[in-house]
Amino acid sequence: MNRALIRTEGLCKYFFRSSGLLQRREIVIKAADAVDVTARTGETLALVGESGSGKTTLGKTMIRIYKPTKGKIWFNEEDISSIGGARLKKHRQYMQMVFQDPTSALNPRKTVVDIVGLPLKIHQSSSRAACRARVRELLEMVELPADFLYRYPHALSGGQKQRVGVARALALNPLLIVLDEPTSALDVSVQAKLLALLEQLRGQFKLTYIYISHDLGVVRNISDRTVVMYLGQIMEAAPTAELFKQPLHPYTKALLSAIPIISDEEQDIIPEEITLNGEIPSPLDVPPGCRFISRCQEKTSICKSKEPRLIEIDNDHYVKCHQCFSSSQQTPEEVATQCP
Amino acid sequence: MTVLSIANLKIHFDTIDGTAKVLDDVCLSVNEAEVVGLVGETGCGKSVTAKTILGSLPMPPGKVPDGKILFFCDDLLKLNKHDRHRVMSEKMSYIPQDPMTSLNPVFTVGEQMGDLIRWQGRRRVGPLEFLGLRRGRHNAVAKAVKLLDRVEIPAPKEIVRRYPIELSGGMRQRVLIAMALIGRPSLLIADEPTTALDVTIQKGVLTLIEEKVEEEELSVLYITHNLGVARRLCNRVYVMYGGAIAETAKTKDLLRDPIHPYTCGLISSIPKLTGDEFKGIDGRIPDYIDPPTGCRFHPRCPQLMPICGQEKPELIEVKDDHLVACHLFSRGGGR
Repeated sequence: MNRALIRTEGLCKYFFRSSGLLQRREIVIKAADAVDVTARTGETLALVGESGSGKTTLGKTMIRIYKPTKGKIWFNEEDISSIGGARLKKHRQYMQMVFQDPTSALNPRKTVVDIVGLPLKIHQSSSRAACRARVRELLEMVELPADFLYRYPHALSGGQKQRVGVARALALNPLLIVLDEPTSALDVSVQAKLLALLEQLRGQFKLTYIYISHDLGVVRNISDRTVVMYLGQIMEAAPTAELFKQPLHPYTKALLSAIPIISDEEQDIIPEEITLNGEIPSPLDVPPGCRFISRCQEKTSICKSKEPRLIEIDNDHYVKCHQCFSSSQQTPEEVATQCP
Repeated sequence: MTVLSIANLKIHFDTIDGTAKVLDDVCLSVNEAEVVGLVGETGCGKSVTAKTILGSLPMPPGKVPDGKILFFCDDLLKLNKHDRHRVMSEKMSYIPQDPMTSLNPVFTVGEQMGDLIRWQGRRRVGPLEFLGLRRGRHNAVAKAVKLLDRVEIPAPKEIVRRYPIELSGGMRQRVLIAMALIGRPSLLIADEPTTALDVTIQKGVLTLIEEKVEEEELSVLYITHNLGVARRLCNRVYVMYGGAIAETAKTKDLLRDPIHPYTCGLISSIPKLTGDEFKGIDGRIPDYIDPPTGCRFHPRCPQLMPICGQEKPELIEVKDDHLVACHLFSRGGGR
């Protein structure tokens, strides 16, 4: 097992609202609530969940685009949760992000050479010629022709724009890239090409990916480990193959059974039909006890009174559900809690 | 009985750069109580087809140089505005793609549905109705509550008083489905109604559509880019590429045994849960102003032959109910 590249301990990100005469701050949304997650060097860690489950917020907080409210982030064994200024700038080189919507992630008034070259200008104060040479190299890496250097984003297709976004993330030779649904705006034929490219780059530059997605088919194929999130917390975390073979949390089962599949072979993999009650509750009022209780079909009285802990139930397989313990022999007290 | 039948439909758009020849001889048909999928990637002309059927395509810049859209016995393209409105408001309805922008944000759900119920199928509003002296609003709202109940919205009496912004995406889509069912249509055209929703919510909406189709014996033209959704819902599927039908077959046959190189590429591009390898299709969709000659897929086709660039393939039946437009299977072709 590789060592951890980035690790969080009780990471929280709350969003506030100021109200009243004294502009007192009150917590409105707990987008990430005491999350312990680890991405190991060289792996692809997938964060999955419905919209509103806090996957993007967690990703952005981990690489310090947002400042965490509470908790610690260890990057290469260094605590980056509260650093700022020059130290943060130094660390930003190693942590990059590819955004969801390729159209709004690129400045429409800049050419590709300016967009991809901007990180070089900021972090390495490269000369213009050096910058251009590096951008040319980067475009080659993402399989775009060199004459794209002076094009504007509107002259590119969706897939090409996303490749420019990837080139920009690669510009500073990062160690970690957070990919926030990079293919959700693309067609499947283009998506397959982009995913193949990302996989190839990961091997070539020994990158670590945090892949945020709601598409479980993609996650199954590109990630090593998968973390399932619901209302700002981890519900289940396991190696991807294991998670798809043996999902334990009712939410994971429901997510898997909702995937529209295209062949009979896949039918054998997904669990039997589970329909969730209602929709994801508003993060403004999270249910007490287990947060999944309002939609769970396997709930019992304990679920309402006590919040379950995230517990390792099998090798590297963590789950946060009371029902999973009663089915296994061990009681929660016997199992040591660790972060996944 | 055939409900909708489109023959050799061509749509062109006049642009500054020239004429974009978007639809190129589209032929499709929807039979009674049949759910037909229209599948393809972005920019293949799915939505243009739907808009042309509905008559909501702005003309100009759009124009129809050739083709027929037969709805029951009427050619929609030849009818005048009045007749077309009458035919369509009685028997056709539409579920739009984006539940966020398709409801009016300044009226409550009940008001919007009530208006539709009261003016259903009417072209002119008489003076009595204008003054609200006929068919009270309460009546309409009560009916709206009943309709919302039928699409399994919890607490419908509460929901009719809410504004669209207060509802979630899945709820709004259910409201739109309820509105589409108001006039008891024969044909329902659904333009990617679940694309903006999460998979768990999508599943609920698909189940609802399935139920309603069965209850009301609807014929549906279901437009989607997701073959998994098509597999779940549709009896028959048309695969569209570059403004033309590439292949059509029963959904099961098409997914198990695709024939057209584009369909094969599309199916192999989808990441599967089995973890099998998936690969995309090289190149990009054609430029409609200057489309490729012959088969529009030929610049991206892995099984290119000399004839592909010269002659347009016709849709021919190769197996039972399995039609394909590819030179590999036409006379003088490879097989």
